Amino acid sequence: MATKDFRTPLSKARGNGASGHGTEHVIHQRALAVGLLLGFIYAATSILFFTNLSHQAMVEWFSNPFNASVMALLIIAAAGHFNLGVQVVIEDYIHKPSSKALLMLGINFLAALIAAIGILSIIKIYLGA
Amino acid sequence: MADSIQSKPLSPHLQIWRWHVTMTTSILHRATGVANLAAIVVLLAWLAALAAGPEQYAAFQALIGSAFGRLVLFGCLVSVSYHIANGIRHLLFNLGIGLDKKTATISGWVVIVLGFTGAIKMMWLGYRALGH
Repeated sequence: MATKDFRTPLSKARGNGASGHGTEHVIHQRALAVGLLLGFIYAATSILFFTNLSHQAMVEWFSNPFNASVMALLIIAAAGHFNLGVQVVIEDYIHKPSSKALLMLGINFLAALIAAIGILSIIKIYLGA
Repeated sequence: MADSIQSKPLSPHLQIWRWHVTMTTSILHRATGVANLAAIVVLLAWLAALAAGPEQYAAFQALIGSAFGRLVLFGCLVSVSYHIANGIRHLLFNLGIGLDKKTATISGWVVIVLGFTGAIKMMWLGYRALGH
């Protein structure tokens, strides 16, 4: 034996699921869900009750930094929550390693694209569309 | 021997199973979660149209206001509304609340009803905001 390993097999395995990060996945999914819920309730009620959905009214709504920030965070949380959720769906139904890896990569890119399009649009509206 | 085998509960079988609402809510949660991509696309189109200017926004409103657009929007709202309602149910499950069979069955029906009523309510609020 080249190097001596003092850790027992149990101590190395403890806290690790099948892929070593299942707990974080579950907790992140829930944390994003709570954020999404709060953001959705705020954005939906404030837009549906206090605007007439016209271009001018929406530009005014987005000119408020808090509103623009909530909408940006809502898009980020939606992309993240969607990414984590679809990952589980792919893991459940796709078993061929190459297809699985490609789909996982694709979903990550899709989530990043959703966040980028959303944030860029919100910044543009905020600065005056 | 044969009796003892037969009296044991069997695992779910292709031909021997009973439909139950908690099964449906679980399947619908996954299905609506994936379908919510459509809702995200509509939301992004709305944001992009807003950012592009009044003309593009008018074109977006015309598209979403068409019969097909309204149908798609209503479908998106049902999907999102159900996913939110059942999502809250799941968060309560995670806190250990409502896990017994009777409560889970009742709350299952509740979230299905809330999914539809929530979507109808949002459509109605949308029409009201537009002044219809």
